[in-house]
Amino acid sequence: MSEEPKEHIPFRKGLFVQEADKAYLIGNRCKDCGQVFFPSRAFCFQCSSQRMETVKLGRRGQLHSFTTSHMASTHFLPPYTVGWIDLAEGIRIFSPIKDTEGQNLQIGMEMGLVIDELWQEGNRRIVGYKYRPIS
Amino acid sequence: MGGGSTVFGKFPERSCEELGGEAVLAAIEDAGIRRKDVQFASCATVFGGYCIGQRVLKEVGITGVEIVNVENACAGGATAFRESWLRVATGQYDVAVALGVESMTTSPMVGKLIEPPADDLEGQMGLTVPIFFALMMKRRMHEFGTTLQQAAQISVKNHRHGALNPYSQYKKELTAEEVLNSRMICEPLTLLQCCPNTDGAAAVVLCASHIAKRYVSKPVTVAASALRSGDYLYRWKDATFSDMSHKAARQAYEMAACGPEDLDCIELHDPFTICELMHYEDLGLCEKGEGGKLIESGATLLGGKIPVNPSGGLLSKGHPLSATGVAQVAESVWQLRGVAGQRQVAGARVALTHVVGGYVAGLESGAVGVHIFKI
Repeated sequence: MSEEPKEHIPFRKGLFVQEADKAYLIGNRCKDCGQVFFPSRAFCFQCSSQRMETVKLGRRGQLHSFTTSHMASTHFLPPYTVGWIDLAEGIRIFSPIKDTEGQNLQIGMEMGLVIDELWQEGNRRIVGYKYRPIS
Repeated sequence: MGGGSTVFGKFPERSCEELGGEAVLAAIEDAGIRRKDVQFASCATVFGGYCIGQRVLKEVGITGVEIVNVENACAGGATAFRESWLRVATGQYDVAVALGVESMTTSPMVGKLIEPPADDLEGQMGLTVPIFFALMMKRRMHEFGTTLQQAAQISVKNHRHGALNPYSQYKKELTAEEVLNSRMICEPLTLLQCCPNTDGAAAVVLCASHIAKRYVSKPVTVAASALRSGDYLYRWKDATFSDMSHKAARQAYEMAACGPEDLDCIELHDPFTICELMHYEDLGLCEKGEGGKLIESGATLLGGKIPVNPSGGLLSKGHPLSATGVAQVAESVWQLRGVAGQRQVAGARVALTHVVGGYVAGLESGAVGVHIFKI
């Protein structure tokens, strides 16, 4: 049973980018105090500077904590695994964790960014970012 | 000052007006005032709809007064209380009522998931409130060696207290095994480590100190009131600690000229077991990372050195969002007046209430309210 290839739609515009085999999140950084934001902010919440530059970030991080939810949420059926990732750029983000294929998750382990399907809406695949352990 | 509350539970046949009215009449009777003495009322609700205060108070014969309706998620009750306290403390009015009312079973929320707003990135990506606290708990277990047993003991303790409270939704003691073996919600949080959905209302009466003795022989004094919003998550580096609770508590201790060592009983925000363990530390009852040892020591059990949630807390008494913060105040008033029945903390003279409310994307939480009472 083959179906028509589904259209891939980014979950939100301007949040991440896939370049060849490398995926990045898109955030911004204050040119004055260096604070990094994801997602991007119109001005620096730390020092109020308006001198912001777009940065690609988030390729690597460490697992700060994780859990598997046995309750559904708006787009996800249980069980699904999520975590907080401490990015190399110094901020912590919440992210779904890609199917770890039996690999035991451990706090502190190295994680890498992947762009992957989050959920489907009719004929469309909604894609976004996830992290998975780097073996 | 007086307090009143409905029994907490699931009452799909009872309206917000009916629940709220019962709580207000009970508080008025407890305070020994007359309905016509009420000059100001503040009322909190999340799901009760518009003009909730007017809708409740007209059912009990209070009209033609200033009424302010507030919403601050689970901290709405503390917000309403603070609003009424400010009006009396600044001399605008002599007698005020603070009310919180919620009917979860008749709300549009019943049986549904809380839908994240479209601009809530994390909510769209699957973050829920239980997940948020499960992540904090996992991290605590990693950093401090907090055990599942210690977390379960929080639920065991609060259900033991709740079993003594006629206002409690659950009046049944639990064992740690029952808590840990209940259905998994978000690892490692099981169902009996999470508070239930609850209907209920609570009210308190406040009056100016110069006329308080007209009504009650031993009035309870509001020694501190603090309310603050959460900070950005990017500045919240330590996910095992409630920074906003810590700051609000520090502000309250300063205002009341006392410290955690002076407290006799505490009603704190325990929507999940992990929260109570964490708040032991941010309210200053013990050192950071020592919350697990504190529950193990029995100090926070009724009869212990500093009983926490003698009412049963959110876990056992139930959590009708906006009513919770007011119910905590009513409980503290009863504890300080020595009329809390089987759950009485002997000789209580200083009480603290603490409630946190509102998942707001990008912030630690929406609001935290801390109040300190003395007699």
